Amino acid sequence: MATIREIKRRITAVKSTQKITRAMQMVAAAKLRRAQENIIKARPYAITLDRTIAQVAMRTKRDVHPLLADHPENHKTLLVVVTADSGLCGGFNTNIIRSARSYLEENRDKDIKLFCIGRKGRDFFRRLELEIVGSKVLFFNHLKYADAVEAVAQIKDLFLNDRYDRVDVLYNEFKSAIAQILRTKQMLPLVPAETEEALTPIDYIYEPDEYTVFDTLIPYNLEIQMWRILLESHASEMGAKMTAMDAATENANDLLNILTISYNRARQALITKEISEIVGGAEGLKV
Amino acid sequence: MAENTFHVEVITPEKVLISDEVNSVEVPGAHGEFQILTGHTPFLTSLKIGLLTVTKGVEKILISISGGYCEVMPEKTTILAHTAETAKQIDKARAEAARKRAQSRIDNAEKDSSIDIDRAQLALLRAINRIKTKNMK
Repeated sequence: MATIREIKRRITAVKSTQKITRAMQMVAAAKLRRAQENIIKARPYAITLDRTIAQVAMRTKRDVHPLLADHPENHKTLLVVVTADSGLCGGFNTNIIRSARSYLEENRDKDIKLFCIGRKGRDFFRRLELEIVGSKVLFFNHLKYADAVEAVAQIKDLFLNDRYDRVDVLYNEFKSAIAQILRTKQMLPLVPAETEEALTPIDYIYEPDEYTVFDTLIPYNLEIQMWRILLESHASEMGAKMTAMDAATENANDLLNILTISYNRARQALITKEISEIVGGAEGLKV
Repeated sequence: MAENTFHVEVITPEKVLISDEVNSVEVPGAHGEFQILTGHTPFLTSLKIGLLTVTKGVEKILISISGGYCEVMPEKTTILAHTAETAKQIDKARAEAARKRAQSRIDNAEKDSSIDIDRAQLALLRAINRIKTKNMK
């Protein structure tokens, strides 16, 4: 049985760990609140813009712009995996990495290259020695719109210059503090909206002209969509972190209870032993 | 009145500013201003810095926008603005200060090469536009 001193030392250790997890939980909760506000404000704009463009694209010839062009034979795909920069957020990173691996598994016959957003994913795939063609890491702490712009610039460059046929993004969508949804979204080429009715070819009037409008509108939309993805992922991460740290604090409590009981037992055993020794000693003197 | 209305949405990255049935919208298009009434032909244009007027019955809402996109469908118009403020929301003192700052940056641009003159000019346009919108009320 563990000695009293050993148990005492463990109690102190668990208590200080608990202090840390509790602090991290509170920090995550504060960050989550801000991240949640941001994503809720950003969603309507991003969704409307995406829908607008998809509707316009539906009624346009697809060879108008290279970012719109259809690639029916899909040979080369760029998979963008959005993880967090830091760990300690439960299954957040593990889940997204697992689904990225099953994506790779399912599409074995195709040529898939990785683009990693977030340090955790990049480090993981680097250890697996998979080819990572680009990455954007260590920025989630000070997430800015410029980060989305930069990531999009890299991805767009790869798509146009390295002749990818498709860009898919794998990310966590924020649902609530305790729930995230894994999403896969095709980013490029743009997916036109589906129509239920027979396609009515509407001649849009474009100002200044079709190419110029798409040339500014599509990259802008990519930035906004990427911005939304980053915000979604960040809010999800903070939610996952808060939940994980809450569980850790809770577990520390359970552990403390068990340790306290065995500490008291050990103490009681010691006292009993001492008393019986004294009694035994006194009995011995009487004779 | 109900016959001649159509749905309009003015959305910015921050919030949905307007989502309503209106009679007409005047939009600052990249190639000049134009008015949209119900049944307008499909139309897609980029917008410049300027004044957006939304008319609903007798009520007129003036909105200052700083560029964006406008998609027109016969039944529905969507305006995606980079920023948008109604005349009521504009802080005149702040707009005035922004105008002075931009003006002085432009004035100093010749001496100081670190100043981005295009950005300063855009900032000036935005500030002037805000002030104009505020004054029209």
